[in-house]
Amino acid sequence: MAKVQKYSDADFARFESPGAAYNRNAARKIEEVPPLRQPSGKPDMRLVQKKKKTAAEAKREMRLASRQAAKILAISIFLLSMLAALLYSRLRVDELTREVNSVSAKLTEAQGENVQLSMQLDSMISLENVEEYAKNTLGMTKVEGYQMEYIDLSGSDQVVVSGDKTLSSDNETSLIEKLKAYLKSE
Amino acid sequence: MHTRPSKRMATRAALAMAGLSVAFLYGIGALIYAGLINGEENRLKAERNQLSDTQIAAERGTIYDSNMNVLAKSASAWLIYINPSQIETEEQKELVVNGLSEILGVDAESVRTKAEKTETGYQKIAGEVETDVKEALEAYIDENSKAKLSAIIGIDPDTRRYYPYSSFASTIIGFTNSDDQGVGGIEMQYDDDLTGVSGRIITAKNAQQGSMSSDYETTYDAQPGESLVLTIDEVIQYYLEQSLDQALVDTGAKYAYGIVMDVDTGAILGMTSKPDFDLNNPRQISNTALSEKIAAITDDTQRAQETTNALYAQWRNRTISDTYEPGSVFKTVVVSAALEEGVVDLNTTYTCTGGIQVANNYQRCWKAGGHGHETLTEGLMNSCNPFFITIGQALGEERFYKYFDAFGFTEKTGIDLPAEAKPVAGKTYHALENMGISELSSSSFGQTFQVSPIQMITAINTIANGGKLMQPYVVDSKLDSDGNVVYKTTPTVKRQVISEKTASTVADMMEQVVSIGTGKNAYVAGYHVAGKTGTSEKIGIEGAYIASFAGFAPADNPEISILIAIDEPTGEHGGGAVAAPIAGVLLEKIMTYLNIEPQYEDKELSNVASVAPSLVGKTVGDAKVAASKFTVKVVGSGDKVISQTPAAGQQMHTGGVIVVYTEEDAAKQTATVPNLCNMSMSQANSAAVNAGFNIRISGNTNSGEVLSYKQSIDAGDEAEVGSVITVYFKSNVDVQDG
Repeated sequence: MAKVQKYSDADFARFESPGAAYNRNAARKIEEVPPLRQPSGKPDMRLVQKKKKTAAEAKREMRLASRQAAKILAISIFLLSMLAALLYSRLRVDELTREVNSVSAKLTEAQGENVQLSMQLDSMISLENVEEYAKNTLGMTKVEGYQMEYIDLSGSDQVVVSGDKTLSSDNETSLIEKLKAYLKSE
Repeated sequence: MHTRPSKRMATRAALAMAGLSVAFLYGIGALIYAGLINGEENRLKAERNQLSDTQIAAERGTIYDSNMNVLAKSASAWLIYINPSQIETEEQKELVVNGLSEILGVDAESVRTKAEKTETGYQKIAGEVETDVKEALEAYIDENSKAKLSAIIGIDPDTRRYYPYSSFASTIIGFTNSDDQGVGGIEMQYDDDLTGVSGRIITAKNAQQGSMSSDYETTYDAQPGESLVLTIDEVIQYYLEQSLDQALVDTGAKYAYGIVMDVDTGAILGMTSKPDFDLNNPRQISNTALSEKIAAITDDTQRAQETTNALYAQWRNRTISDTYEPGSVFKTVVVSAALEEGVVDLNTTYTCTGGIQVANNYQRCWKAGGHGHETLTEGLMNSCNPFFITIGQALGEERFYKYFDAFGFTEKTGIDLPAEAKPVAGKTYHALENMGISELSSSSFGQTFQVSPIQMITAINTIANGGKLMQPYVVDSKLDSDGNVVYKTTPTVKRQVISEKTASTVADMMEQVVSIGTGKNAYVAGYHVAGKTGTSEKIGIEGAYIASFAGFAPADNPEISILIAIDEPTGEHGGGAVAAPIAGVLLEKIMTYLNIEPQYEDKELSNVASVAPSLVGKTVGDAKVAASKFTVKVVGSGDKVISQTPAAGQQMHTGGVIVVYTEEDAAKQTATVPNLCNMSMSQANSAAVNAGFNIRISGNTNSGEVLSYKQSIDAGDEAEVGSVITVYFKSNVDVQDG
């Protein structure tokens, strides 16, 4: 029942034949059907016609847009190059690490070889070999005690003036003697 | 219009929530389990997975002599191993066996045995391989890359200890085993100092087990071991070894040992025990005759046992590990004690009748018929046993023991070397409570007790050092890896044993022993040598003796003490005849090296030989005038002397031959060297001159009765005319001792 009530008479008008409509009594008025729902609170939608852009405006906009694009491009290039640099630096570090490792291994090896060779050299110039070579090949003889000149450095320092006069505290003339000599020379 | 969730939806949401909660709780639980309950194990697993840990071996310290010559040094080397499980074909095996045995010089059969153990993954072939050999092996692996040898042969880092002078000072230095640990001598005694602390590198590794960059690396550097500077002087050690090597040949002795000590400090300047061994091949028997004898033994166990015995015998430092009866050398200690206690003085006399009754025994003097009347100094010079028995008895057991103990014979000397013989009361010497008249009497002339050579020289050094007993030592200082001194040994005076006055009196008496007593063959012209000879029979071996000489020089201002012992010489066995001449020749060399000025007395100056003048460049006539003291032989027809033999400055006897060559390229004239042994000085000289040679006299020239016993160029050899042959003289009269 309720459902039937929902529709007004006018709603069925369209299902009647057009002629019948005029044949009805004039009393039939088109009632104002209240809108089913009143839109409230919302502004009415209106289509606003955009103004036509001027050429200058269009140009300016295009300029702005390309600038924007350039900016984005620059930033992405910057970011990419940073990434590339980062990768490259890692690569270099790895490479250098490998190099350092191999060079330090070489260093250890070379140091080992250096010791090996210097030990070989030492063993070749042992006192025994040197003595044998000096005696048998070079015909040298050992220095004898009598061939050495011993210099005695245990005495105190002395100053020798020309004329072979030795000046030391022992033979320094006294003040009186100097005076006598001076008077004599006068 | 509001809609409420349907009941079904609510159920679903609750289920999902419950599921998520369970998963969340499980996650938390798993985290707790992995992190807290099983945390330690997982941490280790993760570390193993992510980190690689490599140990860095610390470099072993270097050993230097007192002049900073390297005696032992470590360097990196290589270890070669094989992985037999990787050998798949017979061809591979042959390549491995042939290549390794050829390049590494190892026994092919032993490599084959190892290569056949295919169930194992590691077989060591050789360690301490040098770089050139390793490179040859790498080249071989590359050449045979088809056979995939690189999967079979592996090369690991290793270290190797180098001893540049092979057997030089071997019993002092010692050596290391394959684990780089010292197993003898200084290497063992100072192992902790030399070893250092190992380091490690911890690196993060990637999924392929490769190491990552050094950002993830932590290195704990290895701390190299400390280096040691010894008190051993290379030159003195060399002279000592050379003399004793020669002594082994000349006397046919079993062993020979010697020590040279610095009088003031007790520092050991030279020490050797012959025969010794090559430090670079310590496990090889150095005595070839013995080695062949052992190799001929067919029984495996016996051969192994004999090899071990021979190795231990050659590694033994007999100067500190062996003991012997000091014999008459000990009389210096007895006379020091008696003088210090006032039991005797220089005016004490004694009449030796050839023996003395001690308890139930009649002790004979070594000289049949006795020495007759003698003073205290003469008693020491004659090494008269009855005199010293009397002195010992006068001293009494208690005072004798007091000095025996004070001179350091009842304790180790404390030298910084391993395996020093420990004196044991009742075994190696008589304890005071067990000392009766017989023990006291025999001990008074150095018999029936044993001391080590290092104890004996320390006691003799006490007399040289004004009565101060020093502690002997061989390490002078320790250095860090930058060469800074981190430790310096200060000489230790153990005690004042006798007064300076007594020491000086005994030193004077000992000088008389060398000038005209039993030690006269140790006499060195220009230097005053003090010393005492000793001969002792080895206990339990009939006819086996130890001949020894201990002394110091110069007697008036001692700088070095010396002890020479010849163990089981064949033929002559007296200390005065066998050990004293060696000591004399050695002392002359050492004192010349130490720049101790000789002080010739008038009598000695007449014995000092003439010197060959320089004749090169002179005309033949002038040369003859310049060399009027000599016989000049001219070779060639030129006017001027182009060369001469012997060279100018060479010491030779007056009247000797100088050959002058007057033509370039003139062939050198040669002649056969005559036998110059068992002759007096003048006989030897004329025999040499007649054959066209010169002699230089060495050894004892102080006594009238000397005879030559050795010549530097063997009789029968061809030598250039005019060459100087050194002839060694010694006296065989009155050099015997008890």
